Amino acid sequence: MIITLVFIALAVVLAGLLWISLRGHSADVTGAEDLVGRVLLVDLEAFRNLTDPAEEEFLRAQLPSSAFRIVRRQRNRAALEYVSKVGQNSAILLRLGEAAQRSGDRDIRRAGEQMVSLAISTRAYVLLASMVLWIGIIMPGARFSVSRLLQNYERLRSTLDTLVRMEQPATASRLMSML
Amino acid sequence: MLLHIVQLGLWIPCTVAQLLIGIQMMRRKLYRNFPAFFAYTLVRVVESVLLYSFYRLELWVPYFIGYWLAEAVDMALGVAVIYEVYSHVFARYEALHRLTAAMFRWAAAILVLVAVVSAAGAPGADGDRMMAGLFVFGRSGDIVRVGLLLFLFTFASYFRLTWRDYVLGIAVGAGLFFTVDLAAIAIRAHMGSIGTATYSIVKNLAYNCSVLIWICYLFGHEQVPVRNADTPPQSDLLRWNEALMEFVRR
Repeated sequence: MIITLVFIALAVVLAGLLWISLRGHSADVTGAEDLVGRVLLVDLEAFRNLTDPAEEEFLRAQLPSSAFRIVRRQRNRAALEYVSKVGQNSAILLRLGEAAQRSGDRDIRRAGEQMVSLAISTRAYVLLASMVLWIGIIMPGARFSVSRLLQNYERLRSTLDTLVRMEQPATASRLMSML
Repeated sequence: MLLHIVQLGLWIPCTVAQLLIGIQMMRRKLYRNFPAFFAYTLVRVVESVLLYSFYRLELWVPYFIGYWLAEAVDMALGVAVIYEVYSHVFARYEALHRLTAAMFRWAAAILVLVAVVSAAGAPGADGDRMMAGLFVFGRSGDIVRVGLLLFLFTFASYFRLTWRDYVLGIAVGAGLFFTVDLAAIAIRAHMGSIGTATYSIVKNLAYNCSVLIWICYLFGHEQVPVRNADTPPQSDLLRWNEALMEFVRR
């Protein structure tokens, strides 16, 4: 009976996913100007500071273990917010990259391809980073790092900068400041 | 009598609709992009015609054997269709394209294991062991197909991958049928022979809905992303212009 219910539950979950896919939930991004109001500001310095292994080792050495566990959990919760914003931004930049791939300009198409590839790998790192940070919350004594996510996101921002300067050089600085 | 009429009412239009799908795919040359789905469509039409003939002629033994052979063939082709959908979804993303085969193989291997474990754990309520085994076999096939689609949709949803219309239509239609069939066959295996008639109607209804979805997508116009008119970059245009001017001056 339980197995039967499990199969029915699986079927319901897939039906739900089919419905979501049909409705669609992707942002309609056709150009860099569509980023306004959609992307979220990510303070990379603060994010870097929250996930810096050296900073963590310093705190681990300076604080008593009980205090360190509390501080680590707080830092990881804050870092999770940044990771979530990075994930949302990369989903939107994926759409921008796909739109750029339809451009008549070869250089823009190439930048678009690179952006799509980086956005997908960023989403993968977001998933891994979230798991690492949650492990850090559950087991604050464990040693894990999310630096790969930061590196990938910085490369994604750099590609966006290149693309936006090709498409809309006049507004590039303003658009990049939103990220 | 009513059951007989309902089953015929679901059977014949569905077969005709699938034949139309096959013809439409040939007209639009979609069999090149979706060979597995095209094969699945044609095989289902042939199976349907054969099984209907056995049914009308009351050849119950050939009908029984033909039905379960058709189930096995449909299971294999269903997995091939799902792999085709995977390929189309991931082909547009260089970062994921290389992983298509590996992801599909791992997902399939895990799901086959799950199916084997579930078959051993819940052998069904039929008094006839052969019937119980056949329905568990059907359920196991659905576990693999539903699981593969679940993985694909979850993956695509998380990574915000875009679907081309035809691919989405095939995936949604297949997903609907496999989903309902899994739930229905699980209940049938649990209830035993008293659930056979209901299972048959529910399965046929679900398949009719899937065929309707495929018709809507395949007979509609695909929303292919339009590339802006290919204009060469400015630097190329300037070079060509200079070369042309030089030619004219000569």
